[in-house]
Amino acid sequence: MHEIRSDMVASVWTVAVSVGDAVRADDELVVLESMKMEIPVVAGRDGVVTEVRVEPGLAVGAGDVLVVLD
Amino acid sequence: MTDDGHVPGTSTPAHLRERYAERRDRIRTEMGGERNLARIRSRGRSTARERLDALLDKGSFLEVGTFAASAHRDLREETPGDGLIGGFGEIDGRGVAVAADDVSVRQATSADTNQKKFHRVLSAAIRQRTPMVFLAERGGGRIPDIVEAEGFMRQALPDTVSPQLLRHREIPLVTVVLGDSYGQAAMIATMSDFVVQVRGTTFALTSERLAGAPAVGGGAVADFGSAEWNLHTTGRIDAIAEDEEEALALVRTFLSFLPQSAHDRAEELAGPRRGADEAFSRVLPDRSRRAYDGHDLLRALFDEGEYLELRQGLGRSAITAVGRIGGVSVGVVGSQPMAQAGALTPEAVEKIVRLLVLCEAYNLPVVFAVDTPGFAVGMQAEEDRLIQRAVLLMQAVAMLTTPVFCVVTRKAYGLAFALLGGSARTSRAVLSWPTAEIGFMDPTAAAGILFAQELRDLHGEDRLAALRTRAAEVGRDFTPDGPAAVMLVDEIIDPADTARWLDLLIRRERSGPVLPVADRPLLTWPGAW
Repeated sequence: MHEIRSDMVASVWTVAVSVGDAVRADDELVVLESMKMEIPVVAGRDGVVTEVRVEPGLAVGAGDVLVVLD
Repeated sequence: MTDDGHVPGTSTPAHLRERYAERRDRIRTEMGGERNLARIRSRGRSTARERLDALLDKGSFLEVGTFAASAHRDLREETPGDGLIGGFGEIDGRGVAVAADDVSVRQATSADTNQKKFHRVLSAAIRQRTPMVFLAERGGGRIPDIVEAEGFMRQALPDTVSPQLLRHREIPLVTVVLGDSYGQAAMIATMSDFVVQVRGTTFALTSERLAGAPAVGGGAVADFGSAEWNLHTTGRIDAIAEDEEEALALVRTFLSFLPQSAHDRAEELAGPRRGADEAFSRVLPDRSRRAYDGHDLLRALFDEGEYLELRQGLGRSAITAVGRIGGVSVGVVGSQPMAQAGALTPEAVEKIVRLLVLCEAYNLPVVFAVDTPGFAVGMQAEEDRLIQRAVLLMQAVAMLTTPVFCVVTRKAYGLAFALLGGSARTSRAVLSWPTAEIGFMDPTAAAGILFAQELRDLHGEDRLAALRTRAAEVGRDFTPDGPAAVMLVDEIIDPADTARWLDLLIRRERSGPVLPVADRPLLTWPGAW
């Protein structure tokens, strides 16, 4: 189980995946918005999405879990 | 045996020579004893002598203080070298001084003689104008030496302190944490120009037991002293090495970019000059609001895409690195849009000042590659003393005598731009990419403030549309055209020519002898604050 976390205070701009999606290491899972910039969060490893814990508009803090991969 | 016990004048020179040769061999082979050596091996670590062997060019090592030992006569037998191995050698053909903790001898704890030896070697390195490398693996102060008042005072309040440790930077000082290290090791690292820690070792000021004791405030930290902790949290190291071999390789790489001392320039590598390169035109995404990895720019900028990043774990919205452009060693401050959009935080500012001091000390030109929305302001920033750090940066920049160049790649907003080489007073050249956005504040943020009244009455999609329109209005005058028209920007360049430009400027702006260290106040900048 791998938790993909935000490493900054930001809001969630878009969510590109759903539970069950197979992803590769350089696939984008979520795009965060911080200081008017779109900051992509990539999977970093191959896997399958088991949880999506955020939705567009949600404010997240540094360390918050965005997506969980198997 | 550390004391030969012979009576002077009673043996022939040949006989004495042989006896000392035997003693020398024995000291170097037995070190702190087979049991302690076995313990080192069982942990998968190397001995101090093996490390020096691996670091230095074969056959180049001349040892200082082989026959040194504890200041307590009755402990001499068991403290060969007093737990520190010092001397002079070469790395890749260039002279260095070295000191390596010998953990087989009383955990390499700090004591009178080894302190003397360390300072003796460091002073020599400064006079000889060579770098010094400290291979750390030590406990704290030695018991019994520090227990009595006079022992403590003698050790902690020595009569003389090296000018290098008083921040008069004259030679590169490198600390490599190859085993668990505490106390003085943390101090020396704080005063070093480059610090590497091997993963799996513990490195902290005090042991976890002391740090976590209720008497000093208590608490526990999951990965206390770990390399990850030091990279990301304490910020005391530049890089993590997976093993000893990699750590020593990183030391060699760092030294290869630097001169032997603050009195020299780094060796210039012969090779092809930099020309046009389309790699630069692939760095920015199409959408100006889209983040990208700032390392992409550094890979395009440095020769062969090779560089050494410093303080990787802290202040990630900026990237500080050394490498070569056109064969000449330079320091680069880049932006990292992936981390807080590249906004400058207090840690990022501190890290940048660190790089500027390094470059000023060792005569590396500085290149600022700018893509920042400004300082990360806000309530937290006020409490985190952001402006105090910003003023530190401003003052450090003002003291630079080494050439400075600025390339604006995208965003260049506010005070941050001024402090990242944007001023023509600071930079010998301010170059701009066509994509530059220069202004007092990000247009969307500015529009939100300037047209707050109008936007307050709108909602949802209407509000977003109005914000976008107003932001476009404000941002219309943020192109580099205005500054270029009045020569506040020297040239709006084709991004593909970035390295070609810097290659020329770095070479041609570097004229005359190195300024005396006395004329470079930044060399005495504090090592930490």
